[in-house]
Amino acid sequence: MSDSRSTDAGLPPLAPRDRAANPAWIDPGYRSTARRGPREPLVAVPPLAALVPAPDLSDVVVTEIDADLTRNGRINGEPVGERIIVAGRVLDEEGRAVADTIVELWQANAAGRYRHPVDDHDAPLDPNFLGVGRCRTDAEGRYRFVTIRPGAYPWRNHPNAWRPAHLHFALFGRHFADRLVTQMYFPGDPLLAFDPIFRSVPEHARERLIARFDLSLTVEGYALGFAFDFVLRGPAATPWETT
Amino acid sequence: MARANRLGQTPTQTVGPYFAIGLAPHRIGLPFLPLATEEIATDEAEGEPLVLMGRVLDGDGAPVSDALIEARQRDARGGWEPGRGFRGYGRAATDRDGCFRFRTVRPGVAAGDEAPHLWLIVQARGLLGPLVTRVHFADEAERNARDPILLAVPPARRATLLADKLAPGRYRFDIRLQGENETVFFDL
Ligand SMILES: [Fe+3]
Repeated sequence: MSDSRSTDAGLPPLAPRDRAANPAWIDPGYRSTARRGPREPLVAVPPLAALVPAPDLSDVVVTEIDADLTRNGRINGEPVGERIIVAGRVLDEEGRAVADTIVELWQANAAGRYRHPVDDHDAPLDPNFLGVGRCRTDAEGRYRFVTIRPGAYPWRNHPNAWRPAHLHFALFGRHFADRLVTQMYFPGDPLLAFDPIFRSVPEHARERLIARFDLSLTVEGYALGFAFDFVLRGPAATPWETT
Repeated sequence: MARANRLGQTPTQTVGPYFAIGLAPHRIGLPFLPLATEEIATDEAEGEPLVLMGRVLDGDGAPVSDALIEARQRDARGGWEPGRGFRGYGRAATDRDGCFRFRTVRPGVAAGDEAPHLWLIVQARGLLGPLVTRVHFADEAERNARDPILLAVPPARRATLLADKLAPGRYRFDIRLQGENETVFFDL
């Protein structure tokens, strides 16, 4: 048996993505999906032939400042806006911690402007804010970011369209196919009711994208705290399971 | 199907148009170290150097200038682990013309009938989740004919998973998100 075979065998098959809790590829409310979402059905594959481990990123050095967006972009002062802590756990469907996995974050600044050449929203850039962060979960799957609460911003999807305040997150599981890119929203945001991207998620699963205000995560005199857990896919229940 | 006592999976959302800030900061000159680049493997790595390039196109055949492609492959000996000059993982963002490019080495294979390949995950503004596809090499016809994943694809659509050889060590793989010759995406 070669090395590669033993590596493959060490990975249990992955439970399927819960399509009923995820957006459809074409969503009438989100205009850009019309020409970009695939129309052909996804092709099912033999599960054991498709076991692909997530990349090994153990060599990547992640420092404390990488996870502190109020510090990692400073030029001549502090970024403007309301400081927040966003923290929680990365779990699989069975509630088990996903340890030592990298969580990536990007976001708009307090004024709702991204540090990106394509963003032409008429709102100020903040010279002391990049809007990018990264951290690695601990043995219990915990992650924690310090950042600035992002502003809402207009987009051109429909007349008077505004994105609710959100953070963009990207996560790895143990499988390459478990890649999760998602957005975290804030509780009580009135724009959620009008946002086609948030509402592309079937109603029963939408609350999974909304953080919870958590007084125990606040830092007195410094920052408000929001709790948010990520749930990745788990091992398949049977030797393998098909959708 | 959801099973009892399981936590609900976190739903996916689009990467949006500004993903480079977080996932490819070097592409827009942000002073933040990228986690991964277009370099799946460097010159240091064992194996035949290879460039994989292509375009991402929408249902009108228009270039998708804000797509993120992540690639995962085996090393020249068929292993998944990182090694000298070999990361086994890369990220590319498309340019104005929808073009992307990876630098790597020709992937090896595991025992069995698997043909050499790279897995790709495609995300973009207008995509509400990750699309998983797989690049095979058009000049590996014999092994492709036995590959269990390719065999799971309806025969008429298999050609969408073949990268064409442009020159020695240079291959082209276009990704059509929708429409005629829509690329095969897997339910993974
Ligand atoms: Fe956004």
